[in-house]
Amino acid sequence: MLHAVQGLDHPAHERLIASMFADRKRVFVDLLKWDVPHDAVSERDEFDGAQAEYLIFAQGDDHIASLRLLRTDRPHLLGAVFSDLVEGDVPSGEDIREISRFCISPRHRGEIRLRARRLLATALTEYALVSGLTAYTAVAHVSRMSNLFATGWRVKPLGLPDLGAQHPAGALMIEIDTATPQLLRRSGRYEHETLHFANPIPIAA
Amino acid sequence: MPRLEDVHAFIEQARASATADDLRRLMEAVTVEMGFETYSLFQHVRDWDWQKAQALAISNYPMGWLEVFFAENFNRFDPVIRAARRTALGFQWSEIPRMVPLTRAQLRVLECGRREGIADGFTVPANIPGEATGSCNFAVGPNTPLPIHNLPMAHMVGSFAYEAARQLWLRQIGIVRRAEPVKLSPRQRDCLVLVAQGKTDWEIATVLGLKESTVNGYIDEAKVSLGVTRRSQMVTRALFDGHLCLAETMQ
Repeated sequence: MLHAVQGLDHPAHERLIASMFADRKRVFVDLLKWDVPHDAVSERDEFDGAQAEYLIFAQGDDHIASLRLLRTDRPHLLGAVFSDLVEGDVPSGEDIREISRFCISPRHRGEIRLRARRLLATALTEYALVSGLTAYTAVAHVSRMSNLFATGWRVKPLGLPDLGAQHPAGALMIEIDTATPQLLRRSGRYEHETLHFANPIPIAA
Repeated sequence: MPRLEDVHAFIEQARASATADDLRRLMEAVTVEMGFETYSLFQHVRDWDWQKAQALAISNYPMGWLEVFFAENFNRFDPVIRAARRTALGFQWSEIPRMVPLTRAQLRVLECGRREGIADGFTVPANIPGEATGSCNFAVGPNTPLPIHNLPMAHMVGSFAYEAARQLWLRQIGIVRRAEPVKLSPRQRDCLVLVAQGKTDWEIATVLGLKESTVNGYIDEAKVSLGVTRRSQMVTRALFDGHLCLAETMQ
């Protein structure tokens, strides 16, 4: 099932959210060795909280894949931490969200990982269209660029990557409009499932 | 330097390319603009005839080098291809010996390349889950230094060029993407993975604890869902549509 959740105060989804933070720790701390705040079981930082939105693909309360959306008119990663990856102004506004912490559970193998990518790519597109968003921004490791482009998104680099960095990354903007679902279809990356909203749908002005 | 704008312009034009020739012209121009001399962009398929359009491949490498490359079957052990399979991060060819141990035959590939005007280069691997790896490669001859300051731009251009070529190629060979992947049941998929691993119906039945006739039924249903008539087609179509990963089939 696909969930759209804003904030962390959701008694009905408590175990699902804990399962997501636990997989984030497995991926970002244990596997990728990122220097991010964590405890023994969870990875959570200062951007996780009431204003953050999450798209989560799960079986029951078991997290399979997820990502975090941050408002760009509030503190977010590209503005606060990675602004040097952007040439010029960091794109921000009510109708732009930043994607971060895209994570597929390392406990799941094989085809479900490909399916999770398709479902989340499609969910991101539909989430944007229903809530009036026009673009997402994101920081991506340069090694993920070819796969990101292969999704069919209209992707615009916001800067050139520093290939000498320990984790060479680039800032990107993904522009979403009503043609985007067709671009995903053409790339074989469209897979729709109903998105279950835990909160009322936020609509950008 | 307004390099980022050049990348944006390249992406827009690559997206608008309607034919392989459009993309070739664009690649030739951007290659020189970045300070390289030649480029190649191809999927790492072991055996193919480069003069036919069977695989995703465009290049303006010197003809002499391409002839030697394929006459000697260098694509089977080319060190650049080997290194590109090891990483998804762009690399300079001078880094290859640190990435993969080179055999004498592989050192000969590099030596022959140098003789034919492909002396040094920068490779951007394209690792797309579920597909054969590929790469976009930018090269210089023996008298031109690698344009180090433009490697970040080459990385972005290379990744995007690969995607543009991939889209064109799929259209060209007439592969029609499904609007949405067909749904296979978990049991159909279990059987499919085991077929891909070379198991017989009897073996699959034993592994899954089912009757052989039941397994046969699941496989027939999967073939119908995928729109194919033979098992080999079923496996390739399922791989292409992402119902299974290459890695799963090789366990």
